[in-house]
Amino acid sequence: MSNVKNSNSESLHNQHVLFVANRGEICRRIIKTANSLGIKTIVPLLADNKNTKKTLPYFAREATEVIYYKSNNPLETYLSIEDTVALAKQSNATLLHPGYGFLSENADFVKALTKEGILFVGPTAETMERLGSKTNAKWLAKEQDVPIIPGLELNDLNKINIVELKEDLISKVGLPLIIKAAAGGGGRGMRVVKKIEDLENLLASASEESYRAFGSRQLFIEKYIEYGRHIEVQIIGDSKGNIIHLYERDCSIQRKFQKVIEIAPAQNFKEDIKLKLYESAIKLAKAGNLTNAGTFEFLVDTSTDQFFFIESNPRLQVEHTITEEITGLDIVELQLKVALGASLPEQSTIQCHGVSIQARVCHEIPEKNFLPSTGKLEYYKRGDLPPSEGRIRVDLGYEEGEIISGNFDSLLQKSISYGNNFIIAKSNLLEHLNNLVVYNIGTNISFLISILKELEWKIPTTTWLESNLLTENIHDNKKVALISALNQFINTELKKERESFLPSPKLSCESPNFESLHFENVKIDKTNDNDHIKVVDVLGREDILCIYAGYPVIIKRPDIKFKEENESISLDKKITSPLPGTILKILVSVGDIVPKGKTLVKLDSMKTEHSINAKFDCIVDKICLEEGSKVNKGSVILEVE
Amino acid sequence: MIKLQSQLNLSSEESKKRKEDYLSLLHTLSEFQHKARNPESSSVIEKLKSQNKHTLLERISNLVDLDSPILEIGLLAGLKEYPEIPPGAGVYGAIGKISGRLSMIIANIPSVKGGSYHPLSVKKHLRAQEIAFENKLPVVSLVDSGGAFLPLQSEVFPDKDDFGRIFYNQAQMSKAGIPQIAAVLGLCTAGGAYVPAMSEQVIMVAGNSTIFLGGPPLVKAATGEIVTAEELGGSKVHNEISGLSDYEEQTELDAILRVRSILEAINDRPIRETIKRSQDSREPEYDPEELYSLLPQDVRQPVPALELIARIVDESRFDEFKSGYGETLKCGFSHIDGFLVGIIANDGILFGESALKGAHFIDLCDKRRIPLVFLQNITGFMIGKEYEHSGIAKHGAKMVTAVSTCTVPKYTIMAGGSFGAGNYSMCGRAFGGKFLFSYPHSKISVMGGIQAAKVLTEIKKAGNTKVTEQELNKLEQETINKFEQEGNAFYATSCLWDDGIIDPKKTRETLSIAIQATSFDQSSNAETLGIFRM
Repeated sequence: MSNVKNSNSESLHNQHVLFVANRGEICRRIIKTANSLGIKTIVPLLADNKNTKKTLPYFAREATEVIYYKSNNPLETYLSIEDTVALAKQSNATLLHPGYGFLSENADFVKALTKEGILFVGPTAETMERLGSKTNAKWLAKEQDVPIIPGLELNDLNKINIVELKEDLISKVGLPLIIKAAAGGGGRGMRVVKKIEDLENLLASASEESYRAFGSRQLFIEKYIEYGRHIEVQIIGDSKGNIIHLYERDCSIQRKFQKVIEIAPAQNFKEDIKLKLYESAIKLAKAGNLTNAGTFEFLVDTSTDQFFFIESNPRLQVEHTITEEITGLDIVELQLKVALGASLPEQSTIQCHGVSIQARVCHEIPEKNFLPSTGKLEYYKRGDLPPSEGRIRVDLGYEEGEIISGNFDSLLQKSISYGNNFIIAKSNLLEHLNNLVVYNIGTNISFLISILKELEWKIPTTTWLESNLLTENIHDNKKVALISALNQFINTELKKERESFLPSPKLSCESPNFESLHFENVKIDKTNDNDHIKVVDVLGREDILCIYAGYPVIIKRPDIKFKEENESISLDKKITSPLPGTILKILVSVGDIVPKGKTLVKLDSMKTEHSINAKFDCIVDKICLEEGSKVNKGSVILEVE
Repeated sequence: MIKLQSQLNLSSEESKKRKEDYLSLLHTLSEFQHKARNPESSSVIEKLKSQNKHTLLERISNLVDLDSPILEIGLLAGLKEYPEIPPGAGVYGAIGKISGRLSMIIANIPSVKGGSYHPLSVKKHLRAQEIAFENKLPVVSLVDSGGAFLPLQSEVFPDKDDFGRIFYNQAQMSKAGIPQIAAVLGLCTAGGAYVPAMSEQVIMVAGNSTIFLGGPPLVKAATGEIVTAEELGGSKVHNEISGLSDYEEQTELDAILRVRSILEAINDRPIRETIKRSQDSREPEYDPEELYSLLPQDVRQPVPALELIARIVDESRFDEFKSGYGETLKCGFSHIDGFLVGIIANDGILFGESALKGAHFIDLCDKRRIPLVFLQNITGFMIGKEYEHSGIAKHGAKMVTAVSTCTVPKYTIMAGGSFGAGNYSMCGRAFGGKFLFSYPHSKISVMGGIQAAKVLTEIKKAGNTKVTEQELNKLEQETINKFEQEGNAFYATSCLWDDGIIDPKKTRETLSIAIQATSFDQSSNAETLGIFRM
């Protein structure tokens, strides 16, 4: 794919063993490139995976070998430097690719690997310290005259005079403010301060969250730019000191500072600012001595066209895919090659064609406040487009039948579209998402569809999503629309298969995104007829799996209702013997309060011991017979209340 | 197989008139059907809702699979006999697919005289049982019946094919390994009580179903005991005390779902041999709706048999046998919805040659285990000196013998006239066909009304010379009217001389379900003699 000048011959690749210190879609994606280069791969798996050795997790299946951690806890596995390095060493790895997340930005990890003679596919520890930490990166930006957002750094909350801090912030920075974790990424530890009174509480919670996520309480406070665009520049450097950019990505569509949809290149964005961003990014990368892939993120104030450097990520990013689509390069391949000493191609040879959009399909439910949905992935259909209609790339970390746990990132797959222009790329992605079926896991597919539908060529700012598409009301409307579409489907479409005189049968409809679906009294809204229920498959004998605007729905017969146990129990106050025998033991005394289910009397009958249990919570009122007495069926032993 | 070429001119005045007449006849039919399927008045529906009960069609709809076909049996029974109640004689019978298995559904209609059995209700129930028995279909009874309709008890109770026969059949079918499930959805008294009692698995609905031989009023009258219906035979009594019922469900819907779940676990033993499709189903080349433009209301008008066949069979392909011999009977092979069948259709009056050809063809199909479809439109055998001398009765007998004794499944469509011995040779009701359906315009009688009137007046004149012209005219007119009325398809279906009237457009569909419902061993038939050329 790429035209990297090789200093190593291809044959050298097969002497290398690449340890992929990650899991899920990114692990699979790295293996794919490594395989194409002839580099062997080793993937670490959780201890539990050992028990199901016969079926490797989907993401590890293409790996040359797998190796197992001793634990299942993220902190003792993919997040543990010690354990990960030990496994890499044990597997005789010569290279290690960290993917994103986990230990990908941990300088100590890089140091530990270097000590073991394992080549880290990424920046040096020194670069990582300079560029990976927000504080250090900002100092670097200041040195290099790259604008940064005015703000303050807070090291120890306990030593801060909050009154002074508030005054300082108001005079030097101005409201609104944003609190960020210095070590963080992915939006964790971030808080927006609109009223200065809230500062103290928000600082405390941000500090706590930062500590839990990154092990550091270091925070920033800075000016919060409400109408800004998040534009990041993809950079890659080599060990010869060459640094090139691979154009930019627009990641403004965010929810709680988490990127949801990314676009490359940035649309409707001034060319001169673009060039300034590339220039600044390269300057910073040079200053930070970047010798591998990295991203430099900027916030562009749409009202003033001012731009500010926010942070840099000296690693592979989730959204590197769209850059690959528009440049035709394989970034992981470039990473591996430069790590092995190859030189980068000239900047002038890097071209950018068309538009690519990525949607992050997560197993979380927007209708339930983005609660992660876990369980077995019972049904999966990729949602491919006919090749003539458009290009879709799917980076998937799971396959049908796998269990999706809540222990790791909720990213299920990345759906990446390409088109000659934004409109085509967008409609390709929409078409794909409309055909994508994930069941019985709740996902944000419907949410992604709504965003894409709303998305105009004029790209929104970082706050657009929160203020437009995240209200309760929209979810309620969607549910009503879904129910009405189901109603219509059952009453018309489904009946085509049946004799026309039969009324609709009683059916139940379930979607992992909604608690319950009821049919009564839903009016069919003729105005909302853009979306149709599409039948995906018939599961079992006649359970119909459908999709509607990104929601999977199963239409099936209701289950037989079982009567509640309580209903059948008459509150009989007399405890009688169910069969003839002898009373072995009476376990209660008069006045005892006995909870339901507790044994009251033990009986011997036909040489077998029988227990008589309380059928409801009761108080023992009277004991009518004593231990050792012979009883007949129906003899009253106790009376209770 | 050869693709048939239609000569029918759809735009001719005659075709247009025929279509218009047919559509108006179908309108009458659909009104009757609607009444039969929706026997509940709006006030009854309200009441059912308040009791958490369902209408007949809701019950059926919840019971059958989403993609189930429905083949109704005797839908309009009693249409003429019992004008005071909706057509159907208080029972609904249909073949439908439940949990993937074609089954016979027999449902009482409690809103019609308490689901009690009129003579035709019994006849219909017995016919449904007969179909189930012959074809080894599981039987699902949705029971909600007060037993025999007392005002007509003498016609319901004592004879061989009366009420008792239902229970006799239940025992025999159980012996034969045919699953019988009863869901008790209401009151089952006296005779009604024995349907569940004789079933293999019984479901009752808590608070909404009772079974007893004598209801509380009878108990009080007979013994003076005062007891509520629930205490006497409610679901709790029968599930926990008497053990008459095997499942207690909380709602009617649950009881229906329970039937579905029971049928999932009946274990399909090889008691039922189904007929396999020999090729994929393909729609006819000619639109079946064109049959409306083909079929005349007056059954004396000729209908070219190949035009009829072209609108029923797959791709309109028909491999005709002996096309130049005995041309008034068309015989040949075709596919219906992918099932290979032998078709025998009238194309005029039967001659000796036609009968011989028919006998030959039936023999051929019997030997090759190919089901037979009879498209009956026959005024009868040719009569007269020449024909009697040439042995037409003998030749006719050959065909009747072949029809009677062949062992392949036979399906009959009354597609026009059905008169005299023609009825016999074309597999009329008496000849053991698997199913028999009528077109709404079809006519049936021992001979034409006009001919019968002529015969009667001739006899009268011969026996009594004093009879006046006026008396003869009156007799003639009365005879014509009586034949006209009793020979009508609606009268026939009312009497259960068929399994139902169908819209000609649905012939292919109906035959397909009938074939699928049939149990038939298609392996060789080596015990019989070889084929005799005639």
